[in-house]
Amino acid sequence: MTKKEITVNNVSGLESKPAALFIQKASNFKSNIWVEKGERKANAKSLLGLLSLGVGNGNKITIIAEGEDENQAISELESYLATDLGE
Amino acid sequence: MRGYMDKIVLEGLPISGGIGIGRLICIKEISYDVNTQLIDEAEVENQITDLEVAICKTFIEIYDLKDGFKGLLSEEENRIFEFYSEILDDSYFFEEIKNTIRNKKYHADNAIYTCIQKYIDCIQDSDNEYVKNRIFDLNDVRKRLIKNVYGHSEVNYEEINSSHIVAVKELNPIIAGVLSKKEVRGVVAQEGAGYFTHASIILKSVGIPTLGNINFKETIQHQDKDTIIDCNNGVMIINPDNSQIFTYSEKLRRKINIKDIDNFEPAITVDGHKIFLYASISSLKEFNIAKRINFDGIGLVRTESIFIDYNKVPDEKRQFAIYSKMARAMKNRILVIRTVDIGADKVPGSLDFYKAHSERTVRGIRRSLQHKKELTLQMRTIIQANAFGNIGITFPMVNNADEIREVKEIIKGIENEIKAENNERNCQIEIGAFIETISAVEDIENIIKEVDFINIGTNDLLHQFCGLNRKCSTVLKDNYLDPEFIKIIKTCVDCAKENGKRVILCGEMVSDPVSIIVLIGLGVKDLSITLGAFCDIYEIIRKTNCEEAAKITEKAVSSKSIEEVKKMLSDCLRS
Repeated sequence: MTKKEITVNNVSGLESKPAALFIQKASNFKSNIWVEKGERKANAKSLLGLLSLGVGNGNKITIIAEGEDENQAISELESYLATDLGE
Repeated sequence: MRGYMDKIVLEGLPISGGIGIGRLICIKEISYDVNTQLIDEAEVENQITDLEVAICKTFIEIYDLKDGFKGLLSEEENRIFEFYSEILDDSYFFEEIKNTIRNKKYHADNAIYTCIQKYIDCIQDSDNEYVKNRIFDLNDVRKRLIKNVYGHSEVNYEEINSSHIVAVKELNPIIAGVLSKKEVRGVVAQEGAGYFTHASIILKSVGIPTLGNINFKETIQHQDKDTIIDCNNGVMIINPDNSQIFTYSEKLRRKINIKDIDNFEPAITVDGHKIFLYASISSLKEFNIAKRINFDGIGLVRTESIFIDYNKVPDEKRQFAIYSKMARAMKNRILVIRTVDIGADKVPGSLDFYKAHSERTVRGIRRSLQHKKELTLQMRTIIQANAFGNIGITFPMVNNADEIREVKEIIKGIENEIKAENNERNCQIEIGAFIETISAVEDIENIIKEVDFINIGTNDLLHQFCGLNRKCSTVLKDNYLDPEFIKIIKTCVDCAKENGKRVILCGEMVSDPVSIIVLIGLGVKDLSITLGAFCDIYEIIRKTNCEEAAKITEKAVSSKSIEEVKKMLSDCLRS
């Protein structure tokens, strides 16, 4: 299992458009992937799950991946989140 | 004598300006009482089948609706249907509903209700305003799913026609789309009609007067009554007296009907300043309407929206045909074409976006410069079409002067090529830049020297401004009146004026009658608006005094709060 804490830097946070792109990226990996914010954890391949976290600008989240391609998953998702999320 | 016809006046929040007179009709809520009884083990598979059928039906509904709106909605508005589809496509979420049926022995409708409610509660608790805007959409998806579990038919829209003022509890983009197709006289909604939600954008773009915050329970008792809505002052009058009907009918008559005007007096302020009114368009259909109305030109053609109607980016011949046709139709009037804004969700299917997987996602001109082939082709066709009219080319999401310099190099190359092919033709084109990022505002002094004109994109600029300013929420239109935001616009406008360059203001702010006074006060002479806002903006301009507006704006810039600015402007509008 690989974990990584990331700060989301984008005006609208993980709003529906960036969230939809995020799950598309996450779905490309075989690993199980979760996003954790505070006490809540959601499946990174579920749009509703991700939206329900209400990740806003400046929020800290942790990406957790488990599976054969977990390292690659974390690094690609991190680079997506660390840059400007398509803004 | 008609008894009990007491006049009722309700106050609401103006969402889309204008006046509507018609008969009141209410869209009844889909009522559902979820079945909270538990089911037997034997019933589980049946309930899961019902759920799956409901998902399929809902999917088809959404697709049919999306198809029906083709050409009517812009690409941004169409995005709402994608959101619905993405939710319906969320297999983890549906697995959760199925598990709720299996483990908790809930009926399918109750399982849907409970699961979605859980998500809605979480979103409600979060502090992300953008995601909160989606609660209405989620609610609508839930209603549709549950209704499809029951097998009920769709709400009966058939009785609604163009003589009606329509009352609805929760306004959503789909209802807005249906109503705009029916060309109703007006819409009042209890919820959901916030300034920036998709539904209000749709109604505004077709010019249907709309009020929000109108209690639905109250209105439903007055079905079929004569009703006036005055969305300039935020009032709904049920059972108006004859003199009111007369006054408002007169007001309506005096208004220029956007559908059948060919000529109107120029938009001149009380003290004789000509304001140029341009149209911002997203489709050829809108272009055709704009052409008929005597706009002073087209201030913005969003080419990505035009491309979206095609399955792939149109080839050189096709693009040239589109631009030259527009240029010919506008003759000497300016036609500002913005190059395609490739990025994030705005990608026409043919541009392989996902290839750029781990690449940093950029938008606007920066991204276009990474796809020089497509950019050059588009610029070449626009420059060639310039021979038939008066085109300005402008670029989205400019960040700094360097980007413009780079683009100009390419343009020079194209112009030389064309010159070599055809000696006599003068193909020099006016070059502009879309100022819609804070970094562009910071580099405005340098950008302005490189261009012939600038567009200010108030939507994205406000978005960025609010992003930097936590107190601010893009949900409220009032934020355009934030003294700090007005200062940003002022910086750009002043800089352009000093350099003798034209500034075309674009975006929602320009279609808002209250903000117009500020813009005129800043000395803006060129406004590009949505078609539906034409009448309102035109009338405001004809009533405005530039000198007074300048005084008010000067005060607005040094105000402490939005409220102060708002009060000043509403006092001014009233006088």
